[in-house]
Amino acid sequence: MSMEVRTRDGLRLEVAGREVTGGLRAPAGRDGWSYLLGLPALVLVVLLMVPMAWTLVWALSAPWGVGNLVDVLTDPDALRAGWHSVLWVGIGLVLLVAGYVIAVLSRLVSGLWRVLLYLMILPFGVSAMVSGAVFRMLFDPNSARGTVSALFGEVVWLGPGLIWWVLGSAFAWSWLGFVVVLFRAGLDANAGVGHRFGRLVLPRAGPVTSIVVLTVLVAAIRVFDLVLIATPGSIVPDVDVVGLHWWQLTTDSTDQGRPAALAVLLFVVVAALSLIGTRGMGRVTPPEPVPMKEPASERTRWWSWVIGLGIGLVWTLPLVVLVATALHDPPAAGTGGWWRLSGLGFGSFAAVADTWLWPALTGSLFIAGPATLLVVACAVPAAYLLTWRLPRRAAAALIVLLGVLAVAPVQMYAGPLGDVFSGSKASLVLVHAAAGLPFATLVLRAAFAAAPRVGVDRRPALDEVWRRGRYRPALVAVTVLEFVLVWNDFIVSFLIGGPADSPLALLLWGEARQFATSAGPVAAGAVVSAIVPVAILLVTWRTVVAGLTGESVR
Amino acid sequence: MSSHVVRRRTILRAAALGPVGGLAAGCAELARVTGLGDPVRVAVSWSATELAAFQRVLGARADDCELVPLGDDIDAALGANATYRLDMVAVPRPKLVLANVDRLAPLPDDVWKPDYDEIWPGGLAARDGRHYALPFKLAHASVVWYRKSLFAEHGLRAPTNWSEWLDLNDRITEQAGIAPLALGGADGWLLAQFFANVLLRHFDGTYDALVRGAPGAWAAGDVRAAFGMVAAMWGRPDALSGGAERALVAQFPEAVLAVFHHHEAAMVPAPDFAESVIREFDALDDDVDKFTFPAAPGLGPRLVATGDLLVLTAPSRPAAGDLIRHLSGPEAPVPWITGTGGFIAANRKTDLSHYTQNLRELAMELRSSDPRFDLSDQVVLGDVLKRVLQDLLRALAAGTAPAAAADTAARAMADAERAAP
Repeated sequence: MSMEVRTRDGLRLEVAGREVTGGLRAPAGRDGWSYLLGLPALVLVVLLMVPMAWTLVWALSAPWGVGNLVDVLTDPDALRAGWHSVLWVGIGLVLLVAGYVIAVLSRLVSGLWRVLLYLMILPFGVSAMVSGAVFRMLFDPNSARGTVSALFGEVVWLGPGLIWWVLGSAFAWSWLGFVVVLFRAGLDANAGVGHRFGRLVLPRAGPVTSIVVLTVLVAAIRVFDLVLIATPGSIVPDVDVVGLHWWQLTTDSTDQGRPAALAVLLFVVVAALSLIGTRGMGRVTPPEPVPMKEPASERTRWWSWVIGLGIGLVWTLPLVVLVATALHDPPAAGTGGWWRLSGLGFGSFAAVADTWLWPALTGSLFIAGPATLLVVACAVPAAYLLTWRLPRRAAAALIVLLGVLAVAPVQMYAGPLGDVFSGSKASLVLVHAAAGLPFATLVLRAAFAAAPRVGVDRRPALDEVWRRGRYRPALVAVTVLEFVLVWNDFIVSFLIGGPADSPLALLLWGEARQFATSAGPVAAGAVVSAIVPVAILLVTWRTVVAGLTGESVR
Repeated sequence: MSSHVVRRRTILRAAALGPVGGLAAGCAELARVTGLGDPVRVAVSWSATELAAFQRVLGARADDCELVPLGDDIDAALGANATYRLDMVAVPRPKLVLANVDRLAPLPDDVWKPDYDEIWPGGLAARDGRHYALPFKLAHASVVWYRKSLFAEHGLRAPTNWSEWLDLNDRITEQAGIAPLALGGADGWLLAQFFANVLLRHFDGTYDALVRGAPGAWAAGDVRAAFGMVAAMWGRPDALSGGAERALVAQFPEAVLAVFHHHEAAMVPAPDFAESVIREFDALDDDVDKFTFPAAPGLGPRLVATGDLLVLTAPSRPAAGDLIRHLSGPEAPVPWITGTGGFIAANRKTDLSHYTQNLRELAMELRSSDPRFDLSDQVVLGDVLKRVLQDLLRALAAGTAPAAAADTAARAMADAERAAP
């Protein structure tokens, strides 16, 4: 544990309580050659930054430079989309608070917690496309098909207004498990330490907090495919978000300026969020640790059980719906609910296997596999340099830059890249790697910095990072997250690759154009597309969490 | 019984071929990555059932083709921003062909049939005597489908003019106790086709003026009148299955199922390809009937039609030329016609006996009619029209009086025309 002291003129000193977080000494001159290790990462970062700069040029290439920005800011449709994106940030915040509360309560019910964790982390491996599809099935206004309508009468859940509940719950279903698991790991690591907020003392979750907050808020503001699949065409204006509006602008006209301006505005907001977030990532300890006791009255314990059970049931339902729908033949799935016993069979799987499933599966594999390898191969040396080799100031500046790049919306670089790239799988792999690198590097750096150490202030050699057991969780975490992310990707392939190079999510979307009547094939395709990431996540999530929080595997 | 056997066979085949298919796809993938194989890439707007049907049409040739389902983004296939190489595109809008003729290769010489010119006079792109678009699929979009047994039970007859239709709707509400209409309002094109039918079959001069792009055409009184007729029918209490809000979020196949499977409504206005939905979901074929959209006296032969045209991108490869030559044959679409249904071949030599009774009648009516291509696919404000009609439905759901909703819609179109460059 270490503490930080800031002097008035901005000099930052670290007071070592356990050990220092990075090299305090300037690296020796002969280390210079090792900076070459960062070259592959640098190439990818440049690949990302050049099209971003290009987008900025497009945005500003209007009369007086700001013409496009003014156009966007005075367009009522764009403003409405902006307001909706702000609403999404609100949803993200609510989710974060809920996740924190659940994580705190979960420490009181350890037996139930183990089961609950498995249930909650499952949806994190499911793509936004799939979770959107499941929730659209759940909330189908036809009571013969929709679970919620069958239980509560024919309320038009997918109509204007209520659609927000559908989208919000789909988002929560995907992300809450991630939030709870990481908060819980952070709480365990900091047991007995609290944060003081005025009169309130809350259990401290530690440095993982900023990763969680940043990831969820950025995910909320970048929502795209979820809205696209879960919303009937006529209702899209009610839930249009900035990312989606950008896409409509680019398809409706050949004007490059206005969509570019919109992308820049979105990027500025997200980057600001990131800057606030990464400020926390650089630190290991917040200012005011307060010792605290866990509240563990019988009453809280009882409530924790009830909440845990409730969440467990609600969290399993969508997966049950998905699998049960997929196990009905297409006519049965399209006309009746998943709970019916008639029409059971593998017809839906056969239908997708006959048409698009296999090419899509291999397509996804040929993109996600190489992209993951590339990211890990480039990010490990980069993170190594950031943690142990680079001078502190340079490392801090690079971390800020990476933090900003990590959250850059695809719309910020999709325009120019789409013009240049042929949409081949190789170029998609490259774009995915470039887009994934900043986040992977940051996670690795945080994990390297937080990993338990032997000895005092010792810098390992690069090959030790690969070999040593204690850094392995971080490597596993980054590999798994990157693979799952790319496997589940829709927006990068959609905006840059063009629909021609169709991985799973894209074809699923095509299938979902006639949503209700394609429920069987959609569910079957969704099940197959979800099996791979969910299985990987289930097998590795303990290591992943350990890697993200810098803990040793429990 | 027979469908049972088929289904089981499909599953067995899928189970047996699944891993092989995966391998084959993997090999094709490898070939593509290494640049060895070079399939003919065909972009289509079809998905789900129709995509599978087209795959059957390709038959053994499917192995040498890569289908790219672009959905509503088919425009992008021909646009300047297309970043991937396509060999052939199935275009659902003739104006897309006209606009992009520079990027297209002319059709092979032996593919064109003179009678194609009659399908949409002046609508098919040609330059220097060479044609650029091959009509492949036609669709009759002036159809209203209904359940025969329900009509028989209550002694109802198909309407021959608009006021008869309104009366029929009221009688269905009173006598059968179900909604007369099911509407797929989430699909804007379906609402736009309804509007196009009202307009073409009552105010054909205005329809032509709109297609021509005559200045101020959207501000015409006829447009307001057509919106009024539409709003009056949709806005009648209990007219729409599940209410106007449900209709707003329902897609086209759901509306078809509301009539033929759930029996929640009596009629559904939907193009001929509704038949594929009806067949897929096991509705009884002898309970399915249809009537042509009612028309003002004398306007009967003018029908709303849509279709898909095949075009080759320039420079075209011989393999793509071979494929289009194959698809131009009269027997090529037969697997779609017999296996899936809801398909009318553009080639008049295609044997009528392949069609079901309903589709044969529609195909014959289409041949003897004076078809006009769907309005929203031809006018600049096509997408605006879809949105305005969805807003009209939304207003009705919110309880706005039909006349007021129609006024708002007509004004929105006139304003959009004025604002358009």
